[in-house]
Amino acid sequence: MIGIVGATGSGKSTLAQLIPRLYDPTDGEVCVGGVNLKEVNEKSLRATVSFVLQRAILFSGNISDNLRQGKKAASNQDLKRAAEIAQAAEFIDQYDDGFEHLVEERSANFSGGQKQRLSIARGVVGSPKILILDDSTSALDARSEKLVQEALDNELSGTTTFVIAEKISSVIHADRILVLDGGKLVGVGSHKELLKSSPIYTEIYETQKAKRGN
Amino acid sequence: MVDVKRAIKYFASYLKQYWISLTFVVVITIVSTYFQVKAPSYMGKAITELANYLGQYMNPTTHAIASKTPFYHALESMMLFFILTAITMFISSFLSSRVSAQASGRMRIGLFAKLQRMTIKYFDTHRDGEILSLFTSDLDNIFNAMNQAIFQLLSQFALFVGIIWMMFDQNVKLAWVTMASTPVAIIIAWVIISRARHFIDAQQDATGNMNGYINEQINGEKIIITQGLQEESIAGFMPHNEKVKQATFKGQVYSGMLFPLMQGLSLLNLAIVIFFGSWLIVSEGMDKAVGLGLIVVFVNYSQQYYQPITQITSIYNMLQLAVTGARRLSDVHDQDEEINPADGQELSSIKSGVTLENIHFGYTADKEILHGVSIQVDKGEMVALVGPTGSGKTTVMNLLNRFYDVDDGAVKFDGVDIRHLDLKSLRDHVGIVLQDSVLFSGTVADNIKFGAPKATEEDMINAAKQANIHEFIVSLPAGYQTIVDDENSVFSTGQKQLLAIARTILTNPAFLILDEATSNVDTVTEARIQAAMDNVIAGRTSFVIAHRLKTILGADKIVVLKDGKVIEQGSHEALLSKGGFYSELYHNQMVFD
Repeated sequence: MIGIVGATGSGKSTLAQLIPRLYDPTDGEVCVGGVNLKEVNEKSLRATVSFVLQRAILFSGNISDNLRQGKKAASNQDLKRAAEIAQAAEFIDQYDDGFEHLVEERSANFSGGQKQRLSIARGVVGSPKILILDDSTSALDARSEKLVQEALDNELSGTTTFVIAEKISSVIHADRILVLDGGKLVGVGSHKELLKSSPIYTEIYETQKAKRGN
Repeated sequence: MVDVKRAIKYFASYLKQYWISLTFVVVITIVSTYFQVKAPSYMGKAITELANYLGQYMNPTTHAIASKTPFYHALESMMLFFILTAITMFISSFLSSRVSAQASGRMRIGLFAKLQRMTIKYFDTHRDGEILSLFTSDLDNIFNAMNQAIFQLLSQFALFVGIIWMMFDQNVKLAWVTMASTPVAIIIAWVIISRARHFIDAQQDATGNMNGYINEQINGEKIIITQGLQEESIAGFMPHNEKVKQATFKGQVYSGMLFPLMQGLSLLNLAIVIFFGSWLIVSEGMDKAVGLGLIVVFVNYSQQYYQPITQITSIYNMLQLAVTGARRLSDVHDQDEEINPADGQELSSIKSGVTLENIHFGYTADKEILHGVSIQVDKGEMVALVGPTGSGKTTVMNLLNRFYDVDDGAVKFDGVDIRHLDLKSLRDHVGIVLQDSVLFSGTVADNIKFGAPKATEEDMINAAKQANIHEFIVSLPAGYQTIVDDENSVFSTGQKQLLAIARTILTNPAFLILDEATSNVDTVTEARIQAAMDNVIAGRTSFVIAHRLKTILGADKIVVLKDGKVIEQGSHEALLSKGGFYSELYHNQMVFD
């Protein structure tokens, strides 16, 4: 798990958008598995990289239609597992029609948090090799966020996960954390290493710890 | 038929202010029709005079007195009438174009203004594409119909009546012969039209659905790209497109059949008229010259006689589309508007506070979201609403600003039910920072001044400073005059939120609603916002909906919402010591933090 932290506007989302090749770099190259993305077959890239956006967007249809956008051939078991990882199973189970429950136009029948969970479920249903969570848990309560992270650790242990977060606490257990500031990488390392090596990281951490109030 | 009635009512409501122009159009059309139907009779007369002249000229006894003058006179009259027909037609079409352009302009204004008065519910339940097609498709159809079809209808009807009148004036028997095939023509036209109508309706529906699909897909383009769903997206487009194609094709086949059929029928009728006409002349022993003139006149009339039938049936498509358009527009006009009480009380400031009293509410009748929620926000207090996803937090906010009306219970400002408050005064005093901060195209300054366009430069800069976005703005090359063209380009999510906060600060609201306003920004920015908000909140009554417990630690009161019910409320300490749901939530967050 790789964490990406930094101030608003520091370029976290921009960096993340280069991995699924939503944009091509002006200069330099992005390599996945050692291969330049410009030379990678698009289909195989999409199957390898899954990107969960900050703004959860669902399409009209039903829940399973939406989740299967992550993997067309997903079995019911796959859907169930993805929903459990994303902590969406708890509300899906409450519907009489379960995964067949209708997603209305503009997904008006789901709350912000429910949409985010379904969006995460869609991202993980295909067990991608690379998963990018771009502040995708912003509308989740802390308990759910924690459960999602734990489930990702257990269920998708072979997946490289990029977590873009505002809170250091969201990435504190990451194997490596990238610290961005004004479009530059100013620190790389584990939480402990960064506390020693990166003053910017330490400052963010201290501010957040102080705000926590205890 | 109900549709047609509604369409006529809709048109009438917009056309009645142009009654002077319209009356003029009708009069000119009648005059024009008179010239048009009268002209062939001079043609007949010219032929008769010519035949007379030739007869006299050929006859040695009358050779000397043969004169072409009557022939020239008839020819002159015929020319004059044709020219007058053209001129009056031009005037009538000029006037009617002007009326239809003005009327559809007013319809567009009416529609847009109506949309701005609609409830949030309408926008929540209708796709953007559907709403947009009211402007792009329905209004266009109406304009086309008004511009061509309706006035065509008027002039063709006048022509029809005029020709019949003239025919009976010229020769009763031949008039009957010309009209004999009318029932056949009408039956054929009616059968074809009713088939075409079915497909035209289907075409409209299919187009609406297709636009909705396109809109949704484009809106979710990032998902489509990252999930590699482009092919699926195109595949999903196919059936929509196929339906549009099929319906358009079938509709066009049927309506396209009409014209050649009517044309054929008209030619057949022409042959009958000529045949019967010559038989009549011979059997009644009519004068040769007069008979020849009569035949020419009726050849003309029989062709003109079919013109209204063909025209009216071929513009039927257009009329049908216009009727459908008018129905959809009048549906929109019948939608609920935001109810502004007639003499609603003005809200000047908040004196005692805001209360929610035993509120029951659901977006649809069969699913209640809030089951008897009561919350008291005293003046100057900051109340925080917390609760798990889907507990109804956003719904509470929707009710506080009267986006929706409660099913039962009441929302009260200073003890007055908000349904009795003047809506504008309510909204003027309520400031909201939503989850999604929306920027409009324009400059940064325009965006900050959005809620208070008359604010001074100084006030605007102060608001930006309080929102901690001033430094960033002045660091941009064009400063406050920076153009916001693409929502995502210059500003990050956090910065957009700061701008939205500056916008809210500038409106100086007495009551503040914050919906997770600080959840999308990094902690440094969040700290800035928090500091700014602390200043804004001071002296204001505020209501914060947040998932992050730390942002609400400073609240005077915390209300815990779960499954549409208030399960706990009180101060942070009181709730912690109670050891209930809040304390569990809090400890979980802290463990996680």
